[in-house]
Amino acid sequence: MDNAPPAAVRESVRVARELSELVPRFLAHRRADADRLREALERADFDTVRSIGHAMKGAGAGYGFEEITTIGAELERVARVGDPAAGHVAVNRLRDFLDRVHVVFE
Amino acid sequence: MRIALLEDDPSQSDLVRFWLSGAGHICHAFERSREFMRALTRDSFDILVLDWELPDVNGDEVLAWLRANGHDSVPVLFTTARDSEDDIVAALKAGADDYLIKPLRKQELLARIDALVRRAGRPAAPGSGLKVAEFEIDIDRRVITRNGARVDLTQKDFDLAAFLFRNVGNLVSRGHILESVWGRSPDLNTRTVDTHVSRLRTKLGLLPENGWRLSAVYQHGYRLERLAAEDAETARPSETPPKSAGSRAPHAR
Repeated sequence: MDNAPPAAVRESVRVARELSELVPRFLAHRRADADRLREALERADFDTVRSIGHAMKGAGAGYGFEEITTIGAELERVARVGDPAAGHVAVNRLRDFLDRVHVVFE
Repeated sequence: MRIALLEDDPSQSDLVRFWLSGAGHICHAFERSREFMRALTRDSFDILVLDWELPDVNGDEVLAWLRANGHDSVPVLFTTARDSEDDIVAALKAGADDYLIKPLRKQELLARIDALVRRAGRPAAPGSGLKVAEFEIDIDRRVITRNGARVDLTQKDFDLAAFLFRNVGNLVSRGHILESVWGRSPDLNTRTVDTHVSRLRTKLGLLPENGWRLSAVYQHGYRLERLAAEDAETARPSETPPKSAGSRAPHAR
């Protein structure tokens, strides 16, 4: 992608070339998820946290983003135990990943 | 194959539709269960792919509705991020034909869909011939024979006949026929289907006196069905008097 982060901090993810048109929309949805998650955690709305986490867990690795699936599973766990602090850690991890990800289509 | 996908997550829906259309399938996606169920009352598909967790009606309830409302012959593939053994058993017991845990993998999804369709007796690919009563359909050579005699058909009539014979007994919508035989073309309408069906009925002799009925179902589509022997006998125009029960076959001496 053109606006790649500096090499020192970026995290390269290899994705099937055929998905090149879908991936920008997928990542944009995850950025929107990060905002919704933060709002949901602030009002202790764990149903929303669980629902977003569930969807992220289901879709991430299908696109090639294993990290998104892992974070989604963690958000589901956070919602189950009702732990907002762990939820914020997971959201920060998501934001950090989205900031650093460098997609390599192959 | 014409596939209905019920999936509320746009990213997941994008991905599955992309994979399915890339494999030559026609995919109709629905984000809400009620919209999906409404569509199923007037339309038909070769296979249904259902998510479990949905905002309005959950996938297991949709599945129960399908099985209670005459859609029991359509294969259902459940896809969900729920991965416990209890969840898998619950979905299969509720009537799902197969179950895939998300994240989905492209090749596995496509292979499962092919396998389900094959098991449902609807072979999709070339190389898979069909024999239905007196008809033999050779998909590779694009030839249909009736009692061993070749029937001359146009390309489209052949495709339509093969589609209908793959779906004997099932009610198929005009949209389903149109997309399966002609593909997605904005220039065509369902009158095209009616014209070809009428011609096929005559060319193949799909008439009650021959033991077949190819009937139009109001506001829905068509159903090709094999009649019971006595129904066919009743429909047959009789130049000779009907046989009595006692004169069915000569006795051996």
